[in-house]
Amino acid sequence: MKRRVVITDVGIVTPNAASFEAFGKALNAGKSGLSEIDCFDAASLPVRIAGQVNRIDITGLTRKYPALRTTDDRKVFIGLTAFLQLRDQFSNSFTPLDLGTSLEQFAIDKAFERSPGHFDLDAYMAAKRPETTYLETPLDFLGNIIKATFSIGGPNYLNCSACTASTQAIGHAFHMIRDGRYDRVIAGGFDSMLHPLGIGGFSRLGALCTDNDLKASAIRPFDIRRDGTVLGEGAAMLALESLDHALKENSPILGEILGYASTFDAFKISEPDRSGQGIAAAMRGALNDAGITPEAIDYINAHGTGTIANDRAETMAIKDVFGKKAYRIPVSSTKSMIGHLIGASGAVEIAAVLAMFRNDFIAPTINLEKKDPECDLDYVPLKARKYKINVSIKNSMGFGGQNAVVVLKRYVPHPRE
Amino acid sequence: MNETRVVITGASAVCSLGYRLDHIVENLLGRKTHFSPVPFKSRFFRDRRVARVPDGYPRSTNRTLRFMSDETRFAVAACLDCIEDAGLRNAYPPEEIDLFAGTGCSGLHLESIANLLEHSASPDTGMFDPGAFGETAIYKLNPLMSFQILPNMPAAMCAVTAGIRGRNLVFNPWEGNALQTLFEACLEIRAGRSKLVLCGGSDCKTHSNAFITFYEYGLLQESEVVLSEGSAYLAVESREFAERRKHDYYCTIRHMHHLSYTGTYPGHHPGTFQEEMIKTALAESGLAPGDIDLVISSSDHTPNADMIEKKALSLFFTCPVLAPKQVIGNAYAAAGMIHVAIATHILKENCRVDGNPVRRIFITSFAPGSEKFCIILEK
Repeated sequence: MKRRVVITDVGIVTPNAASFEAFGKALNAGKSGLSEIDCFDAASLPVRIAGQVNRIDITGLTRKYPALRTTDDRKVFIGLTAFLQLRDQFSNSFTPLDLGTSLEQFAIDKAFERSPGHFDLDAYMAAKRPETTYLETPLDFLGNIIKATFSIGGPNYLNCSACTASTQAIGHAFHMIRDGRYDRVIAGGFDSMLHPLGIGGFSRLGALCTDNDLKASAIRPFDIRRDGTVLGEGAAMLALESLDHALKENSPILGEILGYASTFDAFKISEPDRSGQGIAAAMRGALNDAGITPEAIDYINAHGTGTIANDRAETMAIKDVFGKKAYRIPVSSTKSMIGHLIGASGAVEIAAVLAMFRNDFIAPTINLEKKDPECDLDYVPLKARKYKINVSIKNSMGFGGQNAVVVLKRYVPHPRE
Repeated sequence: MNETRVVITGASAVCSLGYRLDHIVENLLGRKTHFSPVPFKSRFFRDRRVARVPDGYPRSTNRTLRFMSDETRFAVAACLDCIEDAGLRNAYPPEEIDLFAGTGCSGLHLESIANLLEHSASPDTGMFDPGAFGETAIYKLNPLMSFQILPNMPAAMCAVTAGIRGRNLVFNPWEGNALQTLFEACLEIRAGRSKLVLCGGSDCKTHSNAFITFYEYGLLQESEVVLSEGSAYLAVESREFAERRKHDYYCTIRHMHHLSYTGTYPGHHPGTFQEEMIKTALAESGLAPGDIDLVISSSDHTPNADMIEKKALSLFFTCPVLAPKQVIGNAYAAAGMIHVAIATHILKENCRVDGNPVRRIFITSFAPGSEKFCIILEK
């Protein structure tokens, strides 16, 4: 018999909240975390709006954890801040880490500090001092720091499946626990694209909203006026346990994972299959893995990036899987409030569903004033809705055509549990 | 994990010794190296050799691929070749072909952003100028750059090019993480969630930024490592389904032993876990050291780690030991998969090593990164 898998703790940092409790309140209030970028000088960039995490204590963290001296990558500090919020840092335990993120940050300013004017490789290397930070911090750095600092044994998995990375990490962790490989895994995601090459590179792709005057309403998933997504940064670390282990440890249970699946679009790397068949297959696979039918789903946390192609493809996929019932299922985009957290988006949005379970509401899709006629589902526009979600799916769709879907269920204790 | 129901039905590799496994193995056994000078200007690094994939490897006609990184092109070449080798065309619906990959894809190639860097400096101070960057430099950037550096691109382009729609998993950035995908493939097949997994690793560490990065990580100073590039893919299949479609399998994965060794980064592990891992792998597989005919070792020219591994291997094995990295360099995320592909070919083709037949091969992967493996392949 398959083991049941539950989520027992969440550490989270997002553009609109700095704790799980605050995140729930922010989502319920429809609070946007988007603002003008001020963590670096973005004044001349075509895109100057993002979901930025404020008050990350980089100096304090570096003082406390000297191993961080070799990096100034924001996502490492954001990820560590989320991890430190967990009730238990699992010191001296065997607890695998399974984290998702997107890509290495190239510290372009560092390149010129060490080689002023024209970048010269040998000049850069000659100026390099042992105490200076990496030009590029490796993606598994955070996991290694956490495991070494807290003497945590077990694997350090780093999933790098672009925007589906942390959904994949959580799905992979779920399967590992369900299959009996481990009793407990810390899974989640961390990411930040808020650096010159991150914002600059994505704006060159044409994927971002460039109307900076829109400020907090720059991202408008499913709205007829939407013209791109907004990047954000953040992290969520989830403690996943087998139900038996959680009950034995008296861990508070925030929700249960029922199923997971991933697919490829095999279409294009830069846009989703417009028919939505890739994400539809992932939804079907996750429902099948959960052993439930589409009838059981009463909320969908959409990938909902606010790009023309993505929102339409996802809408088509939902209609394909759920048929007429699609029009009766509330669907909302957490990204409308925090932006697109790329590799961290899945984990943060799974945490959003847990917050909705906890507080009996559905978070809204803010900034949605007039629906795209091709996006004609119930997207919970503008305001949160009081609702007791029972079973939800969380969709993630990534650059490169990767899709990942997790099925989540409100945890209702059995009388004997 | 002891898993004889999981078989390898196809293998391919692209590395500095060539892009066909028969040539690669022939060159490897003949100890032919193809090291060349670094493809960038520098006098800083002590060892300025790299091992590059020779021109002429098969390239897909997919237009987008022309704009992708070398790593992605190697991965696509290896993946398509593996699909042919395993006879997978029309053997499975695209939804039932899974793809698990390990990638290196470590950041920007400085050569590819030279134009951007040139326009990003303040003429007054020589420092990074955000104004110049936003107004001028950013427009010198290839819009597809983001796709060149996203670490999931090698796997994603394999899926697009080969029409693969199944389940997927992408790990980064080391040899052990790539081999983790092989481990996961075996478990997925055993759990009944997969019938067939294309399992691969790819990397490109021959550019200047890789040298900077590896120097900063402390991996170049003490070692004789030759940075390399390439990719390898394996068709890992349920024996039941391989037999059902009447396709020969080259070998079974007799055993994979996995250990997570934390605190190994940066630099190399000082411990003697290698000995324990070999001992455990043999015990768990029910094999004696004498049952092994060939060892393919991890040794990557890092003196301390090589010495520890050599000592550990000598405690158990008297059979020949191949150390491919000494010949093909270290392609990190691709290296372990290349070793397994080489082993698969040796078993498939009944290659003799030092005049002896080979029935079982023991492969070690103790390279940098936290995940370590011992793999036993059996004919």
